[in-house]
Amino acid sequence: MKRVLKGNSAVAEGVRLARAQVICAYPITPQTSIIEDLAVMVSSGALPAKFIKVESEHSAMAGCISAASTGARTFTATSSQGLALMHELIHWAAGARLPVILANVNRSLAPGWSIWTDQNDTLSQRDTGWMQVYCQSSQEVIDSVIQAYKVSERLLLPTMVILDAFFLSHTHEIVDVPDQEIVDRFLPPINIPFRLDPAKPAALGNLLYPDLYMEFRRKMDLAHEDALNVWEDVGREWAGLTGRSYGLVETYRCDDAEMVFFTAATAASTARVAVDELRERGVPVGLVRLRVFRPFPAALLQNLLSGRRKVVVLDRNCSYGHHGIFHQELKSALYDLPQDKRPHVSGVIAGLGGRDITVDDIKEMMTLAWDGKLGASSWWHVLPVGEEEPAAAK
Amino acid sequence: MVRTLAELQPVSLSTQSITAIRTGTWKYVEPLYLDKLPPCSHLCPAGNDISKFLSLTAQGDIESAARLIRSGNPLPATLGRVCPHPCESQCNRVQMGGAIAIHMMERFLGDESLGEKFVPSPAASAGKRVAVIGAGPAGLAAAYNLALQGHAVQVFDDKAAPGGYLRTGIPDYRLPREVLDREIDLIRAMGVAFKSNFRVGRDAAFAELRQQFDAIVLAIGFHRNRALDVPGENNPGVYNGVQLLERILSGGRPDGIRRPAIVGGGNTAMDAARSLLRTGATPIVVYRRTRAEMPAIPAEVDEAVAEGIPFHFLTAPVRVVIEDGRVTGLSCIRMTLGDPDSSGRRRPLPVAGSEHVVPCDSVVTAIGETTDLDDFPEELREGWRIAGDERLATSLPGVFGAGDAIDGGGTVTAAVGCGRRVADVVNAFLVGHDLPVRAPRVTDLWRRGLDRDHVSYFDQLNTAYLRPELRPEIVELPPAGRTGSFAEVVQSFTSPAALAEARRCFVCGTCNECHNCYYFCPDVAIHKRRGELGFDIDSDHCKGCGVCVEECPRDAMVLVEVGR
Amino acid sequence: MCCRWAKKNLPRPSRGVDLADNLVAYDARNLQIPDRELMRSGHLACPGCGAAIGMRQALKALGPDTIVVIPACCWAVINGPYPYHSLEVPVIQVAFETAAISAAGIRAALEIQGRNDVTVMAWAGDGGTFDIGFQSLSGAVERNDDIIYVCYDNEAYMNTGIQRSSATPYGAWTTTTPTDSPKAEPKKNIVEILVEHRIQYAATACISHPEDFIRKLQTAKSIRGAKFIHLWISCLPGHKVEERFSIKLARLAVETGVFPLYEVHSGTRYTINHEPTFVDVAEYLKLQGRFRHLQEADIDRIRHNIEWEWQRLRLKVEMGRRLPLPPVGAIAGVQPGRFES
Repeated sequence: MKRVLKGNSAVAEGVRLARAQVICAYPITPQTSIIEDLAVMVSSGALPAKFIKVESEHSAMAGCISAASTGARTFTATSSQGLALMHELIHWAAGARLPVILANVNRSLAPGWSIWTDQNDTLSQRDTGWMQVYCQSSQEVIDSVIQAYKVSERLLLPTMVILDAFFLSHTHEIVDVPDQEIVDRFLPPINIPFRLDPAKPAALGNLLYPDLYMEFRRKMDLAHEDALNVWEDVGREWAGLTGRSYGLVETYRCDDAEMVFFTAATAASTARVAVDELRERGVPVGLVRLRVFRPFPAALLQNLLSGRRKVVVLDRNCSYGHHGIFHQELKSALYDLPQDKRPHVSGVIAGLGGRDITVDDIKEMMTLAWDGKLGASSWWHVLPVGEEEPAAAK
Repeated sequence: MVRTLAELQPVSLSTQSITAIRTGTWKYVEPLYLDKLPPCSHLCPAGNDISKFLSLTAQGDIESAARLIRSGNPLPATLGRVCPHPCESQCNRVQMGGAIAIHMMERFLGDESLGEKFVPSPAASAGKRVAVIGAGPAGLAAAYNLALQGHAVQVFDDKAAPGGYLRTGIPDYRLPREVLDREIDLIRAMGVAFKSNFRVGRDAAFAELRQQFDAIVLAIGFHRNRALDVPGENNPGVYNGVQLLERILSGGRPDGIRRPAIVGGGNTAMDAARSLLRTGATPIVVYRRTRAEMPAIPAEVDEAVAEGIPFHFLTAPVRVVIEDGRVTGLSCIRMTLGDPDSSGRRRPLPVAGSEHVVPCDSVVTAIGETTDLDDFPEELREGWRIAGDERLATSLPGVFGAGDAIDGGGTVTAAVGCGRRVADVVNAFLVGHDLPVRAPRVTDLWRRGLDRDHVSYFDQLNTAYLRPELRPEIVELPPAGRTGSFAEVVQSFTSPAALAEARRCFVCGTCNECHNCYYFCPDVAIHKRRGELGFDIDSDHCKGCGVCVEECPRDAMVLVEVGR
Repeated sequence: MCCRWAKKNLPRPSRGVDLADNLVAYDARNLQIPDRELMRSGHLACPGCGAAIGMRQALKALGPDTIVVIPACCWAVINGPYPYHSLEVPVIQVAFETAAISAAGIRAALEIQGRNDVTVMAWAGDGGTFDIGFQSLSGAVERNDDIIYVCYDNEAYMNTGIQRSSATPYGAWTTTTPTDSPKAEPKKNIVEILVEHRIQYAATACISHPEDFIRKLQTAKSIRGAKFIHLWISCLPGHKVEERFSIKLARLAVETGVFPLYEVHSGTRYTINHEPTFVDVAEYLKLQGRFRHLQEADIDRIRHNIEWEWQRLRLKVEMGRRLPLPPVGAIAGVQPGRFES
C-alpha cells in the first residue's frame, strides 16, 4: 500500500511489520518520532510488543540485549549523544551475538549543541561488530529495517539502520508499505540458538580466558564475512517479493565513468543530479553509493573501481587527524589493486553539523577532482568557498 | 574440548558444571566432624552418653534414647533416682537457665525402658563362664556387660535378693523396690543367673569357684560399718547404721528407737535418719563438720532438712551416755574447722571445754563403711580394699575387682561405671586378648567416635544459637505428707516435660544434625548422607574457610591442617 | 534490652518475625529453608565468601524457575570461566550499570512469550547498585518493572580490590580512603531512597539470618512489580577478617544495630524484623582490619550514629502506623483496598 511517510515513520512501520517484540527506547531529537509512532502502535495493539520506556539510551540497549538473550525480537532507536552513551553496550550486543536492530538517525555530536545531521555518531561505532546500512530514501528505510531482521537473525549480528537527520528522518515521501503477509513470508519468527531458559540452565557471558577470547571474536569476524553474501541473498529474496532491490552498493552511470564519485546516504541523491549535469559538460563521471558499510564490500569495490582514473569520496564525517572515514576505508580497500589499475583517490569532508550539501557543492568537488586539484588528503569544504585552496594533486 | 572454530558455538554459552573445578586444592586447613565430651558425660562415673540420649529424646525418639542408655548401663531407672548427678554440676546450661535435669531424664528413659523389649541381644557365646561375686551395682553392671559379650554369667550374693546396697541401704522413698526389681529382671532376662544367700567361705571356698569359672569378678562393696571408737559403743542401744537400715528396708521396725542420734554426714546417715523418721521416730543428726563438708548427696540433705530433721554441726561424739544400761544421751564436743586435710575438706578440731550432752535414746553410727574381705585369699587384700591394679585385675589370674571394694568410688553410679569397665577387661581376658595397660575409661566404651580428651565447655559453644530457658521445677511430695510413708518423694517427668527438657539441652560437643554447617557452607561442600544420619565433606571442593566449624553451635567440628 | 529506647520516650520496637527466638534447642532444620540446592561446588568465590552464601540462600528461596542477572561484581567472576557455570538456573552477565534494566528486559521478553512462571532476579553488588547502576535501578523501580533486585552489599568495590563506594561506611579504610583519611561520609541509605520511589516492597536482609532473607525473597516473589532487597554480606579480604568469621561478622552487623533487619511494604509500612541485642559496636569494628585505625572517639561517634539511625527507623515505623492507607496512584502497583501486609 502506498503511503506518504517520512523516514522516521518508515522505520516505525518496518518495525511493526517485522513484529518486533520488545522495544526499549529513550527520546532524542531527531529520532523521537520513531518511538512516538511505536508507542502509539503498542498502545493501540497494532504492534503486540512490550515497550520499556527506559531512563536512558544506555538502558535502552541493555534492555534490548537482555530481551534478545531471552529470545525476543528487539528494537531501539537513537541518535548522536544517545548512541554515544550506548557505546559500551553496542560492543556488548555484538559480542553477545544478538540480532538487535537499531535505527540511528545521524546527528552531529556536541558541543556545541547540534541536532542536525552528520555521520560521526554511527561511524564512531564502526569497530563494534555491528552491521551498518546507510539509507537514502524512506522506501529504502522500511525495506532495510525488515531485511535487517532477517540478515541479523541469520548471522547473529546486530544491525544499525541509518538515516540522515531531517533530510530523511523528517522528509515525507511516497512509500510502498509491504503487506504483512509478504513480510511474514519473508521473515519467520525469531529463533536464536541460545536463550535464557530455566529448562536449560546455562550462563551467558561468563569469564573468558585468553585461550578462547580470540576464537569467539574470530567467529564474529567470520560472520561479517558471510554477511556480504547474506545481504545480497536476502536482497534478492526481497526483490522477488516486492520488486525492490538494493545491493551492498548502488551505482549510477558508472559503466564508462573514468571518475567515480563515492558517497553514502542522502548526499547520493544530490550527487546523482551533479553527475547528470557534469556528464552534460562531458565529464565522464559516475556515482557509487555505499549502502552497507559494515561489513565493508571491499572486493566488490575493487572490481567496480579497478582501472578508473579518479575516485572522489564525499565524507559527511571526519576521523580527526586522518581523513574522512569512507575516504580512508576506500583507499585502504583499493590499495590491493595492481598499481596500474589503482585509481587516484581524493576526499572531501562536507556537510558536518547538518550543513546543506548542494548540487553546486558536489559539482565543485567533482570539477576540482577532475582538474587534479584535490590531493590525497581529505579537503575540508568550508565557507567561504575558495578561502582554503585544495592542495594540488600529485 | 573444542578443537576447531567450526565446533565452537557462536556465543560463549557456559553449560558445564563448575564442579569440574577442584577448588578444594586451595585449602590449607580443613574441617572435620569431631564430637567431643560434653561436661556432663565427662563427669558421669557410669559413662552415660548424655548429650546423645538427650538429643535423641529431643527428636522424639525415646526408644532409641532408652536403648542407647541401656547399651552399657543396666540401671538407668535406678541411677536416675539415686545418683548425686555430678553431671549437672558443670552443665553448660547453668549460665542460661539452669543445668539440664539430667538425672530426671535418665530416670525417665530408664522408666520408659523397663519392658522386655529393651533387653538387648547378647553377642554369640564364646563358651566362657564368669562368676560375679556381689549383686550390687558394680556386680550387676559387670554381669550385664559380660552377658552382652556372650559370656555365661553367674552372680553370687549373700543377701536374700540381688541389688546389694541398692536394696539394703537405699530407702524406698528414694528408690521404689519395684523399679530395682524390674531392672534386675531385665538383667536376668539376658541370661544372667543369680544365686542369693550365698557367701564365699561359708557356702563354697573361693578356690572352688576359681576352678568352676573362667573368670571371677569381685564386686563385694562396702558393707562393714566403721566403729565410732568411743566409750559405750557396745551398748545394744548403739546401732550399726548399715545393718539398721537393712532391717528397716526389709520391713523391720526396731523397738525402742524413739529419739535416735545419727552420727555421720554421708548418705547412710541421711538414709538412716529419714527412714527412722518414717518409722515414727524423731531423729537428730550429729556431724563433726559443717553442711558444706557433708559427703551426702546435697539433695538428700535438703530433703532431710525439709522434713524437719535437726542437724548438730561441728559436733563430735566423745562418749555414749548410758544410765541403767540404757542410752540416754550422746556426750559430744564442739569442733572448729582448721586447715584442709588430704580429702580437701577442712579438718575439724575440738574446742576445749565445749563438752555437752545431746539427749537421745539410741545412737546410730554412720561414719563410713569398709570392705569385708575375711573369706578371701590374703593376696587379694590390701588394707580396706581389694589389691588390684589399674587394669582392675588382681594378682590371681582371672580374678578381677569392681566397685567400692576396689576403687572406693563411693557412689552407686561409680560402681556401675566400674562394672562396665571391668567387664571390658574380663572380656579381653576371656577371648584371649592381651589385657590393656589400664582398664578403659567409661567413655572409651562408647561405640561412637569422638575426641575423648577434649571437653566442650561453655566458651567453646556458639552462643548466638542458644537461648536462655529456665530449668523446670522438679515435683516432690510435700514434706508434710511424705514422712509418714516410704512413698517415692521425687515425682517422674511426664513425657512432654521430658521432651521439653531434652530440647533445652545444648547437646554440647555432639553433632545433633542441626544442619548449620550444611546451610552456611559457601561452597556447597557439605552433603547430607543419603538414607542415614550425618554429613560428608566434599574435600575436592571445600576451600577450608572454617565457617562450618565457627558456626557449629556445639563444638562438634574442628579445623585441622591439611596433611600435605 | 530495649530500656534505653523507652527511656528516651521513643516508639516501642515493632515485632516482626524473628528467627531463632522461639527455638530452644537450636536446630537449623527448624528454619524454613528449602532443601533444593541450586548452587554448585567449585565456583571461584574466596573461601568463606558471603556473596556465595547469599546466592545459595537466594536460590533456595526462589527455586529453579529463576533467571539471574549478574552485572560486573564479584559474582561475575565467582560463576566461573567459560564453559563452566555455578548455578542450576540460567545466568546472564551484563554490563556494570545495567542490572535492573537487564532484568526488566528479560521480564518483557518473558511476558511477550507468555511465560509467567519465571522469577527474574538482578543480583548486583553495592557499586553496581548504589553508584554506577543506580540510574538504571531507579528507572526500573519507578516503572515498577516486575523484577526482584538484590543488592549484595559488601560496602566497597571488592572485586577490583577494595575501593570506596557510596555504600562504604563512615570511618572505613579502603585502598582509595587510606587510614590517614578514611571515609568521612556516611553510607548511602539505599533502601530509604527506593522507598521514596514508592516501591511496593523493600527490605534489608543479612546472610547470618537466612530464614529472614528467604522469607523476604519469597514475599518479593509473590508481589508483581519492582522489589528490592538490600543484603548485607561479609567480604573477608575486603573487611580484613578471618575467613571463618564470615557469618559471625554478618551476625554482629545485625546484633550491634549497624545493619537493621526491616522491611517496608507499600512505601510506608515499616516492620523491624529482628530486635538486635545491641552488642557494643566495638565488637563488630574490632573484628575487622578495615576499622583497625579507629580511635575510641571515632568508635563513640559510630555508637551515636547507630543510636540516631535507630531513632529514625523507629519513628518511621510509627509514621507507617499513623498514616492512612495510600490512595490509588501513590504507590506503585497498589490497588484500592489492597495493601500488602
